[in-house]
Amino acid sequence: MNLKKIIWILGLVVLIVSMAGLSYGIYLYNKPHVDVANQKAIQQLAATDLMQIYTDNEEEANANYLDQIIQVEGTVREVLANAAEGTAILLATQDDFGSVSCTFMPNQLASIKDIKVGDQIKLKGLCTGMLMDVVLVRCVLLKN
Amino acid sequence: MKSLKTFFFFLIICVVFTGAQAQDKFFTRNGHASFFSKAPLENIEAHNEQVLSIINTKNGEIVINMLMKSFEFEKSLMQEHFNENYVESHKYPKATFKGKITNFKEINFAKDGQYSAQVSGKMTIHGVTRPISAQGNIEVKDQKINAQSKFIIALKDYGIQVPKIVAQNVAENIDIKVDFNYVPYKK
Repeated sequence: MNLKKIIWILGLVVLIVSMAGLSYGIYLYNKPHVDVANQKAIQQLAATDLMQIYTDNEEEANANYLDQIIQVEGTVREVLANAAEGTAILLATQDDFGSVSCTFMPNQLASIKDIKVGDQIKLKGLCTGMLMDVVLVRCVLLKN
Repeated sequence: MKSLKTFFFFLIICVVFTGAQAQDKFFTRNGHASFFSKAPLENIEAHNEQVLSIINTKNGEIVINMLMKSFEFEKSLMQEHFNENYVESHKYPKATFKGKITNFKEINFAKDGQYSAQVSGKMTIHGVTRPISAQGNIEVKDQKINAQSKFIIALKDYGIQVPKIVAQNVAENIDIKVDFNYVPYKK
């Protein structure tokens, strides 16, 4: 009688644990992307400063900014149509050639479609490093 | 009057020459690179819209540079595994290609048209550099160059280990696609 009870309880425990494991697995598998729109930026800075920090010391800049949400303000140098879809917006820096290059979340396309060269804009995005430009992805446009 | 004519002639020559010089190099900073992994349990694809590439039409040289962290996946877990476990982008943040269009003499970059290109060079991913050759298409139109290519790489060639437990989820050979719209490089 007692043994039967123990087996029952054990069975129940195993069931609960495996259910929890399974749902955790499903949660992980479907874990959402970083929500740039609703998370706070770790720092706010001008596009020119961001470029300066990267040109001074790329490694150190990466240690501080990689995978982090940063808020950047600057003047639009160029608006580029991407090969696949979407738009890349380049923010001017003191460097003639290197810009801060920003690609946007699909839900931002409507709000960025009127942006022109020379506009002053503010945005936040995830920093992924530097090539010729400092690159931000998943950007969200902020109100000036 | 004559000297004015000479002056204009000189001016035109200058413009033509500087123009010709500026057009040796074409570049893009928002090139598109994507990869596709087809495995029994799931298909995985990722896109990078901020690929940097420069092409020198004088000697056919091509340089491609991209940040691994700029690849975006549908599922954030895939992106996390890709960056942390497979390409280890904290250690190897960039992938690069340096090479040449071997048949660049057959391509007239000054004339609109479609051309087939043979590209070979060295590609570095995950800190491993290997020779690679691929076939591509080049379209010249209105002083712009569109280049596209598709090729396959084996993960193990670049020292990328896929744990056995996800062998059914990640393919051993990955299809890579690139699509670049080059514009004249002016400084």
